[in-house]
Amino acid sequence: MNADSFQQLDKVIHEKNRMAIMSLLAAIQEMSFTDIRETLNMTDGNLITHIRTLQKAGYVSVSKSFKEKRPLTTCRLTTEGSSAFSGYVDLLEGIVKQARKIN
Amino acid sequence: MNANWAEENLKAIRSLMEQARVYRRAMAPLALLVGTMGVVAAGVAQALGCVGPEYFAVYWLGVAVVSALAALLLIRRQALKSDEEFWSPPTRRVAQAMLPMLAAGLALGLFELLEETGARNSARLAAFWLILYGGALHAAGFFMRRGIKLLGWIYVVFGSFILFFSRIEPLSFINENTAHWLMGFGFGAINLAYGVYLKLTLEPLEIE
Repeated sequence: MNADSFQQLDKVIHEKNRMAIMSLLAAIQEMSFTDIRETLNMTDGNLITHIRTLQKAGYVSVSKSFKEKRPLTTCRLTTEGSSAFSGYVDLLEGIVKQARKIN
Repeated sequence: MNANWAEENLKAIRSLMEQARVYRRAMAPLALLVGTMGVVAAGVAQALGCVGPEYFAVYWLGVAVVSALAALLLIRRQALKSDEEFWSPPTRRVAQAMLPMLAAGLALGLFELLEETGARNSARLAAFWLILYGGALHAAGFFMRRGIKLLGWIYVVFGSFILFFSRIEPLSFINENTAHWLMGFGFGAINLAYGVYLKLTLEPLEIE
């Protein structure tokens, strides 16, 4: 097993909650803050912290709007985020393939 | 860290992505559709005077089949519009989770039809159907939004309430004459309320 592969894993995505957020957004491009929170069973504070980290890295964009007079915060995966996530998944798949070859 | 860990992570990612796609299926229109059909069916049965054990089971089995077909058509429409597979793995999982309870409901309905009319009990059948439907929703809740599990519990509690209290004198309104309204309230009004709740709160991703 190549230890470098693990070192190459994106540190921003490589955290359980952020990986989960990225997975949801990678599947359907955008999702409301409430829906992410409900799906992942996270607290507001926890989710905000992780979204901010992803935002800082340029992986997620956040927009605020109103739907039927109610505020709606929507998170969306950026192009950069999408390619970073693909890279992360490719790397994981590479690690698994490598391990299968060895076994 | 090892390859098992990487594999576990990939599984988690795949599962979350599938869950998100199920999530995308707009639940509000589905709940509103099924709810409306439930209320209308109850009203139609009362208006036509199809009240009594000789009509109840066969009528609602028919309504269930029509509602299921309408729901599947709506889901298919949503899938086509979002350019996604209709019978996708997550959709399949939800269907598989619901199937045993729904099949049990069908069997109970058919069993009721085999009984002599005098031995039938519409309110009791409605109660069992509501409980089984609640069980089906609860099972589906493991692959969908958390609210579905709660909705499942509401059905189980409501069905149990009808089952146990139908024999108590002060609640004598639970009988053959009101069985259609119990179904209308259970399968209609509760689904409608859930649909309205989703519409007002949690449904920003309806497919255009």
